[in-house]
Order: sequence, then C-alpha cells, then structure tokens
Amino acid sequence: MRQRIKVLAFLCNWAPWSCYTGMGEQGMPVPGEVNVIRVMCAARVSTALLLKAFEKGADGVLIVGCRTDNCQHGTGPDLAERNIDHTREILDILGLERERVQFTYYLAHESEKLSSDLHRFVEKMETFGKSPVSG
Amino acid sequence: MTDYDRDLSLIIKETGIYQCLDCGKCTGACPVAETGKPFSPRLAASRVIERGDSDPYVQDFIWTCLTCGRCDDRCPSGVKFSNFVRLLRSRWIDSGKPGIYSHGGAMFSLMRMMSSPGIRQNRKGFIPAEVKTLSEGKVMYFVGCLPYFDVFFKNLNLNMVRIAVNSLKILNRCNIEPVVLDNERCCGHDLFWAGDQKGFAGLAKESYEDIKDHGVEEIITSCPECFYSFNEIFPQVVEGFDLKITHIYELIEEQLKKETNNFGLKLLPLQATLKDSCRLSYYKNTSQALRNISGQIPGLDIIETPDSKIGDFCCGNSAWVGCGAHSKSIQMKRLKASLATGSDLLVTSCPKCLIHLQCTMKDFCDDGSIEIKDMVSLFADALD
Repeated sequence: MRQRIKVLAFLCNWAPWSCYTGMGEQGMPVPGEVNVIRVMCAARVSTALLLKAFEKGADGVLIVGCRTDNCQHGTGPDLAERNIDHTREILDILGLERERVQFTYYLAHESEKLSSDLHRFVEKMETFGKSPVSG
Repeated sequence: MTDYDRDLSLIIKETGIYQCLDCGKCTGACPVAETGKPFSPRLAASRVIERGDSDPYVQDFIWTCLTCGRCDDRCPSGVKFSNFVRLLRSRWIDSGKPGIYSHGGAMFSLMRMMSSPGIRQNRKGFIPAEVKTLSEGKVMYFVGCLPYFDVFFKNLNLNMVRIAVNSLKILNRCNIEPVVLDNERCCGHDLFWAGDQKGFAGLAKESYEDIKDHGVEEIITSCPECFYSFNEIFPQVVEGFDLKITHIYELIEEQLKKETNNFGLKLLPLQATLKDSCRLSYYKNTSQALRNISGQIPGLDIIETPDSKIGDFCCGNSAWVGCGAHSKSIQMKRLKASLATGSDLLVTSCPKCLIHLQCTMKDFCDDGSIEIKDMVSLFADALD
C-alpha cells in the first residue's frame, strides 16, 4: 500500500493563525496529510528545526508567516526566508528536492488562499513521493 | 539492583574510576576548569559513585566536558575520564532523556539523515575540473562534513571545501587518483561522542557497505576526527572491518622522506603558530606529524605557544555538545596566546578548530586578528 505523505506546517501566531482559525469557521477542511504547529514567529523555525523535521520523517515542510511589512516583530519573514535558503542548500547536497521546504505568507483574512495553498503543497509533495529519509 | 544501576557500576569499573587518587591533575589540566567554571572531574566521579548520574552537578558536567583528553593524558592512574563521560551520555540518552547539543542539534539531524539507506547525496559539486578523481578504485579520499559546513557556517565565510580540494591536489601530485563518493556518509564521530551509540552503529554499517561496494581498500582523510573514527570506532561495531586508514599527514611525511619527491616546495616567508587537534595529539599520539610537515616548508618560521609545546589547549568545543560561555573563554585564551607569538598565521589540523576559532575571532574587534588556515591548505600553497 502506498504510504501517505506527511507534511508539517509551522504557522506564525499572527496573520497565519488567524487564517487557520478562519478556515475552521468557514468549514474549509485541513488536508489530512498536514500537521500544524503554532509558533510565535516564522523566524522561530531555525535551520536546525527544519532539518529535525526531515530527520523525523516529514516529506515536506511549510513555513507560514506574515507579509514583510506586517510582521509583529519586524524581521520575521526575512529571517524565515534566510533559514529556508540555508536549508534548501543543505537539501541539495543531501539529494532531497529543494522545494520540499517552502515559505508562504498571508494577511489575516486570507483563509481561502491558505486552504488552497495547503492542498497544492500536499499535491506537490505527492509528485515528489516519500522522502528517502522517511520512506 | 536494577539493570540501570548495574550498568552504571559497570561503566565505573570499565573506565577505572576507582583508581582515582584524588591528586587533582585532571582539574589542573582541564581547559574548562581554567575558565573559572566550578568543574572538577574527580568530584564528578565521586558524585556518580555516591548519588548516581541524575545528580545536577553530574548532569552539568557530562554535557559541558569537551572530551578533549587532556585529563586522560595527565592522569597518573590511567583513568579513562573522557570515555567515562561518553558512556554516561550514552546511558542518559538510552533512557530516553535529551542531551544538550549546540546549533539546535542540526548536525545530529544531518548525521542521522545520512544513515538512511535510501539517501542519494550530491556531494561532489565542489571538485574543480583540473582535479582528477575516480568513482571506483582501491584508494578513497574521505571528504567528511566540509561541504555541509560551508552552508551551515555561511556567516563565517570559511570556504571549508578548500581543505578537500587541496588534499586532492596533493594526492594527485603523489600520482594518486582517489575515489570520491557522491553519497559519502558521515564518519559518525560526533554521534558516538555525544552518546548515540545505536545511531553510530547504523551509520557505520551503511557507510562501510557503501565504501566496500566501490572496491575501496584504503581510505585517506585529512580530518583528525574521521581518521580517529575509522581507526578506533568502526572496528568496534563493523564486523570484519578491513580498510586501511591513512591520515594525509602520514602520506606527506612519507613523500618528504624520499630523496626525490613530487612536491618541489617553494619559499613561504611567513611566521606561523600551530594548533594541535585533540584527536590526533591525545588520542592518536601523532602531534609530531604537524611539526614535521610544517618544518619542511622553506621560509616558514614556527613559533609555538607555551601550551602547544606541552600538549595543546582545546578549541572550546567538541562533538557539537554544550557550547557555552566557557567555550568562548577558552577560544579567547587560545587566540590571545596565538596573537602573542606575533605570527601571521594560526595553522590548525582540524576543521572544527578552524570553525570554532574563526567564530570567536569576530569578537576581537580592535584587539588584533590572525589569519587561520588548515595545514593541508598551507602545504598546498607551498607547492610550486
């Protein structure tokens, strides 16, 4: 039997978490492949945490933050993107597809966009298949 | 007596802790104790005997110890203190409790990922076209973590892969075209020393099979930790381990002893000071090699620090465990001693020493700075 893809989504507490609760209010289901972890800022998700996610068997990791001009802490999205760039370079050497880790951002009302992006990310990970680490 | 207790008494027995004479030479030699942190190996040993390894002093101790081996070297009773610490770490982790790792444990994630049978890395991107390597053959050059370090420590601008490129150039000069594996797995040194013995055993078996599949009979490495790991730890966990392990210094020394060698060294009018690696000096007792090679470079003037003459001081961290204020303090001391020699260059034999000292060099600001380089790259500079 084909194993189910595992996606980990780190959601910033501010705009993304508002989108996420909005998904629930509007009856938009979260894909079963996605496990959500709430963090206080997208920048909290360091390169070490991203690598840990892959080590523990994630097939794809999504960091969901706020728009640059909307960050509660000032530099969150920039730092998150830098961490992702470093992780992608490491994934390149490890032989894993670099798109297995991705950054997206939303404004607080964009629940529909978050919902469709989560589904699209899961579909993309399904085309990559299980990670050689988790499989 | 529970299994857990029996295990602890076995560790105490195996590492010779009962032979401790309470003389205090270990504390006198310890780089951590010298920073002023209350840190006494013999107190930790007696606490383990009296109260077990959950004691807060013992816990702080085992995740701070650098396992550099300086205490083992000075101990008149032959207590294997670094191994005592390693086994306590291992026991702690095996009971499901977390260790204290630097860099958020990222290096350990990398090592564990590299032990997955299905992984297919792309490590050879750094090798320039003029360097000759093979994909199968009897002699292999083991690169180690260098390509990963360049990404992970990007802020330090290290160019660590130059160590591998220069090693390959030296091997080519000795008429050796070595195998370099695209899917080379980590040597597991740090997993082992951080206490993950099961993780190390899994990684070592996968790594050994991969290497043997490429027809390799001898491994040449430029990293002291890889050298130590293949020499000392692999044979303990891999049945029938039969690879010959050579450090690149041995190869260079052998060439230099010949009346006519392929090197043709040119003049390098520089003053340099040396930094030994713990794995080569205290564990393999080969610190002379670094001096023999640097002594052969024409024009290179070596000025040793007082510590390096009698057994070098640690670079402040080992096996990515417990980097803290004491690490910075040790690195500051080592850098200041190097600056006091008035040298142009600080020459290291271990890539980790290079990373750690370069990291602290940022803190010096106006106090001065010294260029840090690895021995292999310095030797390659002297090639005509």
